[in-house]
Amino acid sequence: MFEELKVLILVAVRNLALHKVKSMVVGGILFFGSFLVVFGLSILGSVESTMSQSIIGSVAGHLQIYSADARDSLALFGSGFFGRDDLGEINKFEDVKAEAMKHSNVKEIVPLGFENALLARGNLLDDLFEKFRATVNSGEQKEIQLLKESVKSNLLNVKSDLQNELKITSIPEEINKQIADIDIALSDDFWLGLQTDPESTLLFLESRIAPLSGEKEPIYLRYMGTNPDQFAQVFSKFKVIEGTNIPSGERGILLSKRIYENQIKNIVARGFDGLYRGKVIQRKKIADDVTLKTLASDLPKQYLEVSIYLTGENRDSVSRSLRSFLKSDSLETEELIKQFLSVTDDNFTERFDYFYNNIAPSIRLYPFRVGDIINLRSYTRSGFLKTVPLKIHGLYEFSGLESSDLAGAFNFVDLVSYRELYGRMSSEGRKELEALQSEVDIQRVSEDSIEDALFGEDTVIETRSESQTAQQASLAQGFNLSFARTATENYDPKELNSGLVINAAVILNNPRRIQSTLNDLTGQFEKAGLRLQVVDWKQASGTLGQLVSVIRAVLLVAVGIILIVAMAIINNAIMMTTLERTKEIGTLRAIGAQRGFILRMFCIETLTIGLLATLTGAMAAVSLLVYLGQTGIAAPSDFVSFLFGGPRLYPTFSFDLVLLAPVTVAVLALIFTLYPAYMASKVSPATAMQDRE
Amino acid sequence: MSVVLKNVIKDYALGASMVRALHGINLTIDEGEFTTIAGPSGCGKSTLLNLIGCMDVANEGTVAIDGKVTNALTDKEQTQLRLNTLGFIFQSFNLVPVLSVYQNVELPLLLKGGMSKSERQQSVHELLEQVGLSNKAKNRSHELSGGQRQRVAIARALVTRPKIVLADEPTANLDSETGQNIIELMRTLNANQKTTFIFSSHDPKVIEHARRIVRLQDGRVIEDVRK
Repeated sequence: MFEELKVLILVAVRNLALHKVKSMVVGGILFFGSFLVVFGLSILGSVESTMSQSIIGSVAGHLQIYSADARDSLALFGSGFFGRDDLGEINKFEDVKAEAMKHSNVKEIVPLGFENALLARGNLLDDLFEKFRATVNSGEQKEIQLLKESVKSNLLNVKSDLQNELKITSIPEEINKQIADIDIALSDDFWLGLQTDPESTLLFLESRIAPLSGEKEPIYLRYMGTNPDQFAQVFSKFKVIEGTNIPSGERGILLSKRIYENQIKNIVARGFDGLYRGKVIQRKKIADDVTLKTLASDLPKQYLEVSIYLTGENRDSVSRSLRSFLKSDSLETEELIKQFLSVTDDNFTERFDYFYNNIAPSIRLYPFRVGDIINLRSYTRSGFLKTVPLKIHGLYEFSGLESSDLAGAFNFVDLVSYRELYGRMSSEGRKELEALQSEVDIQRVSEDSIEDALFGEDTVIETRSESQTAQQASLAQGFNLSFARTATENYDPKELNSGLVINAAVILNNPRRIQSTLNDLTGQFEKAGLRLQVVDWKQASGTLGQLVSVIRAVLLVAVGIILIVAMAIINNAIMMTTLERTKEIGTLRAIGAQRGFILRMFCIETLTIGLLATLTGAMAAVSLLVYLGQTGIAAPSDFVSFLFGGPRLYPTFSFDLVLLAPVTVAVLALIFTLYPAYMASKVSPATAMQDRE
Repeated sequence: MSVVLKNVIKDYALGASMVRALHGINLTIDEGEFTTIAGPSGCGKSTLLNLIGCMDVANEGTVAIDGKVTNALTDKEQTQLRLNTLGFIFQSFNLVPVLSVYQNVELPLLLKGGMSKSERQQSVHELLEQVGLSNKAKNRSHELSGGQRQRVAIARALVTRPKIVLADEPTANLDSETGQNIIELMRTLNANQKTTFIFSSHDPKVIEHARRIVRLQDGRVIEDVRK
C-alpha cells in the first residue's frame, strides 16, 4: 500500500513537472485563492476586533437597550440617512436598570440619549465690536484710538467685498444701502459721536454694520446625554485631556477634542493644521493633492479671520514682523496677511512655524475655551428651539482613536441638561412652573375638555384671559425662557439614575456570552412588561457595524468566484489530461491497474499541486501578516482609523484559519477532480492497443 | 495453461451500422506455444488479442483462459487476471513516460503487491539483464531507442511471470533488424520459461519465426499451421 502510494506520488509529481503550464495555472490560482482567504479573512478578523473595541469601548458598550416602539433602528454612528431618528423613549430608566442588573452577566448599565445641537458663532465683526464696546466702557483713550483704526480698516474690507458683490447682485439697491451705511461709519462725523453719544455709535456698529460681515458658519454639535461619572468609569477608552469631567451633580458639557480642533478652532489655524497633516505627516505635495490645493488656495481668502483679531499694538507689531518676514514694503496689514497666507510647497513649513509662533498668540485661536459657557441650541421633541447655557468643563478623547472623526463625533452633557434640551422638564423646573401657575391662578385644562373650557356655557371673558396666560405658560415651558436654569445650577445626582433616557449601554462581565445575554435580557424585559429591544454593539452602531460583515461577504464572494473559476479550470485541465493520457491510462489498466488506482492517481496529482499551492499561498499570507503585524498598516483616512482602532492596524492571524483555509481549498479542488478522475478510470484497457503514433 | 475460443463473434458499431470483426472463431492455444496471428490490417488480429487479453468481451461465444470463461468475469476480476496471468507488449511500447526503465518494469509488481522491495529489485534486475538493459535502469523511456523501449516493455510484460504474453504487432515500429532481435528475444524467453507467446503481425519475416501461424482474413481463421 505504502509502496503503491510512493509510486502514485512519484507519478503525480513527475506528471505535474511534465505539464508545467497546466500545473502553474492551476497552482497559481489555488495559491492566490488560499492567499486571499488567509490574508483577507485575517485582516477582516483583525479589523472586526479593533473596530469592536472602538465601538464597544467608546459609546456602545456590548449591548444597547432602547424602546420597542422606536420607529427607526438605533444607529449610534449614523444610519446613513438624513433626518432625526425616532428611537422612542425609555421613560423610567430606574425600572430598566433594576431589571437588567438582575442578570449575572450585566456589569453596568449606562443611561444615554443623543441629539444634534446648533452652536451659533455670531459673525466676524461681532467679536471686534464686542471688544470695542468693552474698551470704550473702560475709557482707555489710547486703546480706543488703536481699536478705532482697526474697526475702520475692517470696515474698508467689508466695503470692498460689498463693492465686488455689487457687480454680480440682482439687488443693487440693497447693497448700495449697505455701502451707504459703511460710508456713514467711516465718516469723521460718525466718530465724533463716540465722544458725545457713545451708545448710539456702538449700537449703529452692532446693529447695522455687524450683520454686513455675514454669519460665521454655525457649528453642528452631536451631543450625548449621560451620567458623566459612570460613563468615565465604564468606558475605558474615554479620557479627559483638558479640564475635568463634568462633576457629579453639576451641569455642563465636555467637548470632543477632535471637534474642538477640527470645527471650533480658528479657520486659518485649521487650514494650517490640515496642510501640516497632509504635507508633513502624510508627505503629500500641495501642488499634487486636490484637498491640500483647496486648503492652500482658501487660506488667503480667510485673511479676515486673522486681521479682525489684530488690534492696537498687536496689529502694529504683527505688521512689522510680517514686513520683515515677507521682505515686503506693503503698509497694509491685510495685504501682508494675504501675502503670508499664500502658502506653497516651498514656504509652508516656515510659514506654519511662523504662524504658530508669531501670529497665533495675537489672535483668538478658539472662540471659547474650557471654563467658558456656551449656549447649546436644539429643537425639543415638540419642535421648539431650546437654548441651554452650559459650562465647558473639559475636553476629552478616546484613547487610540484620537484621529478618528467617528469616535470623536460626540460631545457629552449631563443627562439633566440633555433632558432639558430634549424638552423634558426637570423636577425643579416642574415645581417652579407649578408655583408660577398657582400664583397666576391657572386652571389646568386637559386636551379633551379644552373646547368646553373655552367655549362652554360657563365660559366668561376672565377664563379666556386665564387660558391665554396658560398658553403663555406652556410656551414658556417650551422655550424655557423664564425657567431656564443657569449654567451653574446644580441637580441631585440621583436624577441620573431615573427618569427619561433614550437608550442605555450595557457592559457585560463576560463578553463571550453576548448573544445569550441579549436573548435573556429580551426575555426578562418582556416578562417584566417593559417594551424594550436589546441589540448588540454591531447592530447598534448602524451601517458601520455591518460594514465588516458586508466586506467579508464581498471577499467571500470574490474568493468563491476565484474558486469556482479555479475548480472549472482544474476540472477542465484534468479532462484534457485524461484525453491526452488515454493511452497511458489504458496501458496501466491493461497491465493490471484497477480503476481505483487510476482514480487515486488523479486525486493524488490534484492533492499534491493543491496542497503545495494552497499551503504556499497560506504561508505567503502569514509572512505578509507577520510583517504587517510589526510595521502596521497605516489608516488612509480618519474613518479607517476608527475601524483600525488607531492610526495603524497591526493584523493578527489564527492558526486554525492558516491550516483550515488551504486544506479546504485543496479538498475542494479534490472534489472537483473526482468526476474527471472517474471518467479517466473508465478508460478501456483496449485503448492501449489502439495505435495512434 | 491453454486459451480456448469457441464460436467467438465480435461486432463493432461503426456509426449507425454494426460491423462484424470476428465471425465465429474457434481456436485453442496450448501452454508454451509460440503463436502468431497473421493477416492483413483490419482482418481482426487486434480484436482477437483484445478478447484473449480480457480487454474486451465477445458478443457471442466464449473465451476461456485455463478453463476460466472470461466473458463472465467482472471488470475487477478481468483486471486481476491481466495482472496475474497475462503480460502485454504493445506496438508503441506504451511505457509510462514519467517513470524510469526500472520503475516501468517494477510497476506491475507494485500493482500486484505482496513482494518485498529486495524481491522486486531482484526480479526487475533479472529481467533487465535478460533483455540486456541492466545498464539503462535509471534512464527514462525517451532516452532510449525504439528497440530498447520494446525490450523494456518485454521485461515489464514478463516481470510478473505471466503464463501468457500477448504482443500486438511488437515489431511494427522497429526497423527489421531490431524487429528480428525482439522476436529472437521473445523466442528465447518462450523456450527458457515456457511462457505462451501469442503475437500478431503482418510482417512475413516476423511471421516465419513463429512455431504456429494462425492466419486471419475478414474475421475468419483461414489457416492454422504448426511448424
